[in-house]
Amino acid sequence: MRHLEDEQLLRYADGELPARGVGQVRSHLEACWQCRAQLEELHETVTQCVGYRKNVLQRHLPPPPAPWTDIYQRFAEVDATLARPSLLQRAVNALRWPVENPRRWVPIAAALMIIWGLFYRVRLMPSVQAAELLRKAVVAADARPVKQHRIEIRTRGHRLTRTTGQKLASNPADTQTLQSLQALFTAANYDWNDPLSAKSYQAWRSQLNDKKDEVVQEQDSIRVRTDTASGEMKDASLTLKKPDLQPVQGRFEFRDGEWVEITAIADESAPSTEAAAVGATPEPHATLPSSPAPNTITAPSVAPTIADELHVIAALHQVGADLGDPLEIQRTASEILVSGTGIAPARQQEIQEAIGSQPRVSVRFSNSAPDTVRPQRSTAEAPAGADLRQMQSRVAEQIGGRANFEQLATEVLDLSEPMMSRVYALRRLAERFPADAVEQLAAPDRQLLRQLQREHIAALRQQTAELDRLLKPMRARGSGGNTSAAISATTWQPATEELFQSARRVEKLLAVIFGAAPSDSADDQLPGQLLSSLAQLRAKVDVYERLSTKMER
Amino acid sequence: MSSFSLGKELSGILQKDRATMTLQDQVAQLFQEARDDVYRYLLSLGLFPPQAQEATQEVFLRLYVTLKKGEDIQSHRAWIFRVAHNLGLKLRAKQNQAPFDPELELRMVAPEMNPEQTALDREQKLRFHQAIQRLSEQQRRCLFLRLEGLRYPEIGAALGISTSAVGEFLRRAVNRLKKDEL
Repeated sequence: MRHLEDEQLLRYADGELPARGVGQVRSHLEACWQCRAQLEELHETVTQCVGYRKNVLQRHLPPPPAPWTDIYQRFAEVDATLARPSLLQRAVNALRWPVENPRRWVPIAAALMIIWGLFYRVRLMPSVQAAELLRKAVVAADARPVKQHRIEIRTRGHRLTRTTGQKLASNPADTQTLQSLQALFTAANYDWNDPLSAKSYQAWRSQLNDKKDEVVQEQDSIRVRTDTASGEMKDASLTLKKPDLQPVQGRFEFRDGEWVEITAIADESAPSTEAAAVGATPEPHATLPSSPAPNTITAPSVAPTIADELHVIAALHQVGADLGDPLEIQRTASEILVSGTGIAPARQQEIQEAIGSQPRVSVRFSNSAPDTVRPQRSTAEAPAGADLRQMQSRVAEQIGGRANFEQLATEVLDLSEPMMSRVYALRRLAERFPADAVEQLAAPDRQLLRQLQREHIAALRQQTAELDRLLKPMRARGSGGNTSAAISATTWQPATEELFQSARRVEKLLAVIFGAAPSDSADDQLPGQLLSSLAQLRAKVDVYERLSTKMER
Repeated sequence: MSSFSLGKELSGILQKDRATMTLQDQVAQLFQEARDDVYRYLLSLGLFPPQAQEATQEVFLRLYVTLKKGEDIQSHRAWIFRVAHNLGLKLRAKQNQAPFDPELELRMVAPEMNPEQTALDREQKLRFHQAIQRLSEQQRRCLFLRLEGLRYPEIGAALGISTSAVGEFLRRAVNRLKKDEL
């Protein structure tokens, strides 16, 4: 039999061995008295070191020569210094800063560009948009079969209909009105023959020396509006129907206060889809999105697979969104729906970015109260019973006083939450990927699944080792916890549930002992139960790891 | 209501309380808990008591500034000892005199300091102290940092050596102490 080396034993005792090594050392120790005696000696030396710290260093090193100063006072001084750098320092910082902090000035430069972008959008962009929109509308109109169309004209005092290109109306009064309107439009350099057209509007707009445009997106139309200080017409707007950009309405205001509104009369002989069939691409729709629901990504519907779902989970894992964010993943016949409730906007964006590139995935966020997957905490608070307080005092005594107990409580309770996040993540994997689903995965996807498990289990192992280290002072000398890992499962999926139950037990006991939650057990047994539950959990982590490794083969 | 859910609730409340502590309170609490340990560690590096006391406060002020800048520190204790170690060495290098000697042996044998101690006790303690003094500097530093609760990677980060080197130094230290004891 090859005996354990000293370093192996020391690392084992210090919780610094990799998991695989822990199992080996443990089984060797069970079999070998010699190594166990060696370990015992090691513990004795460690105990002596601890005694040396307490009885020699703490006792005989000279105490601080002065009383400790009020640290809050020093904080205030630090705050004041941080808030008021000297003039020279500020100048130096200003010069040094961009060189030393390229990562910081890049976002600032980006912010300036965004501000410029907004300015461009507000002041310059509409002109570009208007010109582009009109150009496309003209192209679209040219592609349509040339045809006269009927329009309705409204002015302050008249309402009449007319067919474009015809100068005469059916009655003399209307003819007179039409003639005066023609004079008005001609004086304004606007083509009266076809006033409700992108081409006429474009021609009028392009001869203006001085103009300001506005492009307004509406649900099924886009309106371009131009006002100007030059010419007789001071303000005009043209509404184009989406997606074919056919003009449906125009409004024209003149400097003398007159206004004219022209509306297209639906041509019943022309099917409404006619224009949509022409070559014009409704690009403005793409370049000027009519604000689709910002947090919905939708991709074409092809039935998503279990592998797609795995990729979504892996992408969420990249941003830690598989560790406690209130997200639900559903795979339907057409998509993988990731829905989240009560998630902060910044986090929503991170999640969007993480999975946005995945195919067949939809993301939906709602802002109602989070619908947690985790078991609800009850809201009642129970004061610690006298027995529980006594138990805590005993533990405190064992580990060197109340201050140590408080410190320990802080540390172990802080660990409990992230530990459970990992366990829940592993449990979700077991639920989503039963054995038959894993069968369907290609080798690289299995590797990916394995990688996810490996990361969670590594974190869990580190957290439980840390718990073990923290709780070590509670352990009476010589009494190790019960370390037998009675996992009956032979594959990782059912083993997950056992791991989960074990972790829940540790979590509960931690809350009882350090958080003073009530318990069903006799209080004096709790610390022992915690230590053995933790030992079991650590052993189950090893078993899980072993079982999940099988998947790779 | 299950005791499980109540337990979660209570631990949640406790954690929330800590979360609502101001940064100053948090650092002040750490200062309260760890200042004596840091001070003694700095003495063990050879700093004189006034210097060690000032440096200890400096370490916690640096911690305050670092946390205020929003930096994430995994283990405060490990961070504190790492900074204390580096600051201690820097200050000692500037020191124009021999490192501080606490004359522990003299204090340990002075009967008035240890009235309850038997001669045998005293002899055992003295022997162990001498064994510690015989360790190499790195072995002693690793051992002292381990005694302060640091994990191997944290000790490695403080001393600027690899985790496996920490394991090796500690192994040698423990072996020598064991041998000297026999």
